Amino acid sequence: MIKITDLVKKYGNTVVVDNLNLSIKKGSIFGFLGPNGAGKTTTIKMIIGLSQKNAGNVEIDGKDLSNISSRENIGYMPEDPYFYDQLTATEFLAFMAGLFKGKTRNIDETLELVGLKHASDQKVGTFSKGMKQRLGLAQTIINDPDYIFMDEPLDGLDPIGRLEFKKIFLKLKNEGKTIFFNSHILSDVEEICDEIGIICYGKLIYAGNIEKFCKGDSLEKKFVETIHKFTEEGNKFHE
Amino acid sequence: MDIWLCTQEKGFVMRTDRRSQIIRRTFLLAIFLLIFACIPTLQFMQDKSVVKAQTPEPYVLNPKVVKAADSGLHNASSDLTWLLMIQYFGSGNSTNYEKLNDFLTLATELDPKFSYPYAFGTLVMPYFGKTDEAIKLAEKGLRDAEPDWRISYYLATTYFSQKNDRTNAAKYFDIAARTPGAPANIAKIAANFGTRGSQRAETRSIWEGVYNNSKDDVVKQRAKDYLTHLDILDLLDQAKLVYQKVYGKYPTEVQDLVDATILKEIPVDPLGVSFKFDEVGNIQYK
Amino acid sequence: MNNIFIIAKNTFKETIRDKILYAILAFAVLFLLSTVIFGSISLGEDVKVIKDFGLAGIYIFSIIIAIFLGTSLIYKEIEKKTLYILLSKPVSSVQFIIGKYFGLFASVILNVAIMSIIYLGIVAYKGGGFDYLSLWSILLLVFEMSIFIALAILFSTITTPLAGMIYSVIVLYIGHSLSLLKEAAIQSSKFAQIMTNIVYYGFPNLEKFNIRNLVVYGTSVTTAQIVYPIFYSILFTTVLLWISGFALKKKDL
Repeated sequence: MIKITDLVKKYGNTVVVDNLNLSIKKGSIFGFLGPNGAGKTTTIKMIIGLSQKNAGNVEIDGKDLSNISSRENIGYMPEDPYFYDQLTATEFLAFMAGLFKGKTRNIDETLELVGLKHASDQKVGTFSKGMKQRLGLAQTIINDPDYIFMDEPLDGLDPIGRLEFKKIFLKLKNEGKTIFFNSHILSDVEEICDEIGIICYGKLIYAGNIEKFCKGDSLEKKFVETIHKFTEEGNKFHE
Repeated sequence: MDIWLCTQEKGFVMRTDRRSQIIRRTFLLAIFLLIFACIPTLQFMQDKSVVKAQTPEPYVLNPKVVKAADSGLHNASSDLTWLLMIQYFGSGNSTNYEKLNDFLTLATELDPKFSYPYAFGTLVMPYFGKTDEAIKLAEKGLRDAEPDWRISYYLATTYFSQKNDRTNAAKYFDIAARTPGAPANIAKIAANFGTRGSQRAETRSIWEGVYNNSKDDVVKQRAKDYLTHLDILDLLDQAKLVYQKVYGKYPTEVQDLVDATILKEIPVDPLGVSFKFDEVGNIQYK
Repeated sequence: MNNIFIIAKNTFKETIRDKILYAILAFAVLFLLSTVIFGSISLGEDVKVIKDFGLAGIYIFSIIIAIFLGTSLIYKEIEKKTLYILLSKPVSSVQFIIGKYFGLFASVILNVAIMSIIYLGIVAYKGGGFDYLSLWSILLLVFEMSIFIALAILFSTITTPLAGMIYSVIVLYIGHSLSLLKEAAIQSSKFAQIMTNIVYYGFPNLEKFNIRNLVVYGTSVTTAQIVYPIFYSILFTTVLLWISGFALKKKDL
């Protein structure tokens, strides 16, 4: 499981992530939500180890990801992924696969899974945004990781693409993988997530079961309500 | 030109519309080509109007500045200086001694081993009346540059023609002849220097002077070689007169003298030259 | 170790396929061919001019490639976030830097090899025979490029490509003028002399890689002239890459 304890991130005097505590069950899909600038991307980067934590701990199956060997079992897809223009899709995946000591998925199968089989020998520089997003997913799962972290994975996909991705996520869940992702597209989150976390101004204002949160309403409605309430309270506090 | 006809003949409407488009495009293309052609024309006109004397003198940089700026590519900078100098002097600017000196100084400072600038300077500077400077340049070249027969050769000719100094001329002709890479005829020129008629006695005394005054065994041996060479010339001159008295004509080959038992054998010249005679009996080198 | 090789291999592929590289190489080849023309107007010093300009040309174009590609190498990865993807894998930032270095180094060596073959062909064609000695000069050039690549990578990690290029060019000029600097300082104050010594020992001394002026005159090369610069290059490169790895690790991505 993923255990985040008292996570803090400061840029100068600004606290961007404020004492975040989260526990994510193994084999679940967790959606991390929040308005723009809330600290979602920063949190995910700290989990992966790309960004230095100012305080706190992140453990995945008891291991800290700043230890390089513990990254064998995770996959990460950044927001708006970019790749090496001159390599083909196959070459790129082979590159990524080669960095793992353990067993990796078959490259052709993975490209087929994400719908890029037709472009396997095309240079990545010629890919459209949607294709890049698909390649991003491919490289995330190339090592068949148990834990998958994604930042806005559905961004830039057309409705068909979003559907395909959601199917893949559910398939991965059935294989026992744990998925943690940030997203703005609340309808998609509603469809596939087991649990959600909501962050606003760096503070975690809800974490838990999605039905309990929604109480019958749509996620979007409930989400906007919650953010407004939190913001008002915050303003009241400052007055 | 857009003629809109309210007819069902849409095709005809399209055609006139297309025609006006083509005309417009051709017109724009013509304007573009005209402007494009004006550019080289303007350049040509300006070039013609420039008075030649207005082109400024090249500024030859200080060697230290160039060395700091060329990131170690001193040889190439020296070559470039050399090429620029050739261009400058080749285009009829051969009256400016100061510039010549600047160019040569820069080239030789950047690459002291580059021999041709020294040789060139030695040859050309006397024409500006700068004979002493030429001699100094040649001596520096002989010290610093890659061995180049041209430096000593031009120095010898400078001593001879400008200073009438036959001692030094003989010395440097000899050095030129012995420099690796010297063409074969240079050896002959060195051997031939000052051996005609009355000059031979003076040349003999020059080499005797070198022999007596030098403590360097190599130089002494060299002087001895030249003296032996002069002895052989004297011997051949005497032998040919004897032949002429006996046979009524001069010999053509040295072998003739041996056949006529005037000489015991063909003399071996330590300078490595061999001889024959012309119609009037003058000694020639082969 | 294997990771370094994989990153190097893919960096090599990526740089080799970059069209900018072809353009630079095309200019280099044109320049080398033009040395024949320069030689022909040198009043008989053809081979010398071709050799001097040829070796100078290989040097200049190699530096351009090393600095141009090197200063954008890491920067692009950070800007385009390809670095995020790589560092989320079991790859350390040090392995990443070293892999990038070797990939770019291999690419530079390939370009130097192409230029050298053309150079040797031109010299032979013009009657200079096979220029064996120039191979030593080219070997040292490759080791000098190693320092520049490492330097460019360091700059790429900490600043923008344009600033990196400017700094690299400054190091180029200082690196070749260090002895001049030391001479000039002899007449100055003690303080100036200390500062000069710091610069002299701190900056890469690039003149030691310059045996161009010797090999053109057929002077044979001593072992010391080859061995010292090679070791110097290896040490300097290691230090620069070490600092780059450290800078990258400390960077908040």
